Amino acid sequence: MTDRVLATVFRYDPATDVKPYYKVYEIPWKQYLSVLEVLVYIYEEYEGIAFDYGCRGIWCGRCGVMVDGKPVLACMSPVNPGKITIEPLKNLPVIRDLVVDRGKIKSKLHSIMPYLRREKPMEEMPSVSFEAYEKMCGLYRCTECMLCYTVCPVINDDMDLTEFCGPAALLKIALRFYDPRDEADRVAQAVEEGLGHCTMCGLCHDVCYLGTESVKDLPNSFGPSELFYIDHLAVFEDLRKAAKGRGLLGKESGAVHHTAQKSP
Amino acid sequence: MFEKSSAKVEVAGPVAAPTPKVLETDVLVIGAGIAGLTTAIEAADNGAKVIIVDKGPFAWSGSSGINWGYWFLSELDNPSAPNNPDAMFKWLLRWNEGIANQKNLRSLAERIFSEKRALWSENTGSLCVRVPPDKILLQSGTTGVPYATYPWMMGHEVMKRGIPIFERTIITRLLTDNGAAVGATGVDIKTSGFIIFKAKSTVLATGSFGWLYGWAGVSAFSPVQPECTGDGHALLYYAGAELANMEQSSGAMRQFYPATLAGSFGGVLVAPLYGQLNKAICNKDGEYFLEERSTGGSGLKELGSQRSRRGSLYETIGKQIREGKGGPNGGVFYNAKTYWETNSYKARLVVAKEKLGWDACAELIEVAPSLYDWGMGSLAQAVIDEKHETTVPGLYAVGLGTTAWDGNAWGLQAGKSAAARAAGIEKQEMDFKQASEERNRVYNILERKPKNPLRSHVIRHRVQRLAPKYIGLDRTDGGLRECIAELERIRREDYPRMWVALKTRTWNREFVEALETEFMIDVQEMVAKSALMRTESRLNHFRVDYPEEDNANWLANVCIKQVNGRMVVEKKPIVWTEVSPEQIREVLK
Repeated sequence: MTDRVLATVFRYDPATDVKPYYKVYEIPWKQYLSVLEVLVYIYEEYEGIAFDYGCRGIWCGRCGVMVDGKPVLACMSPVNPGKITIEPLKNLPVIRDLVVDRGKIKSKLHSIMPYLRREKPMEEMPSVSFEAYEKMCGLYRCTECMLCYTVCPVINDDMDLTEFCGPAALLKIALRFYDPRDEADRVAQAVEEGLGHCTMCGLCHDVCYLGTESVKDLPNSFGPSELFYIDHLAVFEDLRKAAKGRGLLGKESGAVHHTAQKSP
Repeated sequence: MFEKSSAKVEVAGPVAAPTPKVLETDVLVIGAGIAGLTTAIEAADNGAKVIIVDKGPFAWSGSSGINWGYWFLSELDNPSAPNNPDAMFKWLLRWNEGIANQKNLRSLAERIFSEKRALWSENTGSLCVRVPPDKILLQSGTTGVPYATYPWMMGHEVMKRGIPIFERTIITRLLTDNGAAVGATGVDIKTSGFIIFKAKSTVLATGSFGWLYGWAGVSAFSPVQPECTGDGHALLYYAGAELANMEQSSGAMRQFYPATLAGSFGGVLVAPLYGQLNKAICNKDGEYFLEERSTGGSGLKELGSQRSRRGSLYETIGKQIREGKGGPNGGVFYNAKTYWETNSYKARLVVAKEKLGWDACAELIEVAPSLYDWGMGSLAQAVIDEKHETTVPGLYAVGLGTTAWDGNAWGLQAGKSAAARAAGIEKQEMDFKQASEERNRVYNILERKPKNPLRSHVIRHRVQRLAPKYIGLDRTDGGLRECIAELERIRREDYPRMWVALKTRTWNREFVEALETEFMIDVQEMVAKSALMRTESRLNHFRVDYPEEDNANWLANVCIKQVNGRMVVEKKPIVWTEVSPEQIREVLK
């Protein structure tokens, strides 16, 4: 089996299926074959499986799926000859097949007010220190692809976001924490949104496509605005330091350990 | 009478159509990219009740905004950029080589300087580029701060205002009453439910139709998202509105493999926009045949002061290919290594190497000029007046591939105009017969079982593949006629065979793609017919058989419109108020 791929795909249509099932499809292999190509091939050559994608270059965050149990963006994930299992992002309600309902996390990402919060609008272009600017640039790149929510050990299987807002939401709070134009108390907000629950395990960083280490120090004519890197743990650590400094967070991590993912 | 599209499908008896949801609003905005979001916010702030609809995920899809970002034209930190409305007007006029409507350009130029949109964007939480120690480059996106930041923040502005959002909803037809727009019909992609939007003003902000340009395996050879299938242009056409200069488009580069990256910003596509391209592009003999140009930066200076920089770039590349100096796939070669220093997008290539295993620097990459049509050189759009109203009363158009200059400033006008019109209408009348017929048409496409069926993607790819073959670089009279003949054949023979194999009403991508197929056939034909009529080369429209710009005969618009079910193409004079055609000719010499 050096020239083909056997893809086991999660199938479920809540309107007609009693429960989910898996179906195996055979796909010819070629160099640089991506998971996205596999999905399009199945869609065109076999049947109309449901999946979603946009930019084909990791910048839109629409094509997240689980491949062999690991969350990835389908567009930039290579497929080797042999077997592969493709499932929807876990712990999110399935709309059909590989399409999940992201509404719950999206609502959270709006409710934390990631936009600029000020008493009065600015009347002229603000100056932003280069130091702050550098810290903010990478954070703007988060595409809300939700991969981090599927690996975070603090978030329960039922995707309960009441005690901990999750990695991406925390990053967005941190963006405004660094933002000299923002007047809200983002440190207190981070604590309220469960900063203390984060175990600093770094799994979110590992699955994030903006966590690619070799991109970190790439010289660029446009400076940090072209930065395609987020150092998740450094960002969370900055928030923690600020919170501890104000006595909002205990000396120890203060993390409440939730049950990690259950085995099936 | 309901406007007919030119494509016909066989009716298959009674259809199990769902009960429609009917929603009423003052202003209906179709499309949630930069232009649509601006329009929605502005209409709401002018007192209108607004509904915004998007085919993709709200504020995270579309053409320019999600892909590369935004320039605040007025506030460009570029000493050579126009710094007052008069200079801006002239710059824009020259930039589109004289054919844009001068009333529109004047109103745009004034608005660009009066609105201070860069500051507005910073107040929403966007961030323009900062260069140490204290310089502000007034861009959001592009080479600046992440491209998605601007629509993302605007999306929150829409949410803050409580504007109802219908994402993942495809608009299937515009509704008209006595020749005026009264709303639209849509299908909710998640449930295949039918929605009738009743509106006093309807605004189309559906972006470009880059998805029509070829098929690379998972995408067109265009960086736009899969939603960009020309819906807006087709809907305007069906509603009887006039469109202009559909032959205009704009270009980028595409690679041939990996298929995933062929038309994506994750690959080398942006190459022709920035940096020292003369160090990057060579022919099969290893000759770097392009002239040296300035490095980096917005490129706007060059675009503004030369004859369509990209257009002429592609002419040069096309010439090499025609002379037999191209690669096996009919492209030229891109050297990522020699270009590396000035490539501001190199992080993307590093990610591609680490994640997908494709190393851009390991070999010469065969690339070919492609299209993305989201503005920058493109004028393909509805004929609109300075209020952004199309030739159909109550129907406004903004951001249809022409407005990347300043989708923002356009949207501000469209929002104000749409709100003002709505304020003057006490109660919108609507004859539901049209909507009802449309409901039957839509669900007939889902349910019918034609003889000798073809799934829609087969038909779509046939339409898409015509673009690089006939309406890309090498446009000729013969080729364009072949292209039109093939499109007519597809409409006559293939389209009636279109079959949605999957019948589910839950996230049925096949159903949605089938609904788009008709748009794609008609828009592709509009492009080919307009390109056939314009017997000269202008902007990014390049005719091999008419390689020169012909200002004596073609300082004119190519207009297209549906009349009695037929596609009628007509040459019309430019609309000028300040600079006469004679003066333009003098400048363009």
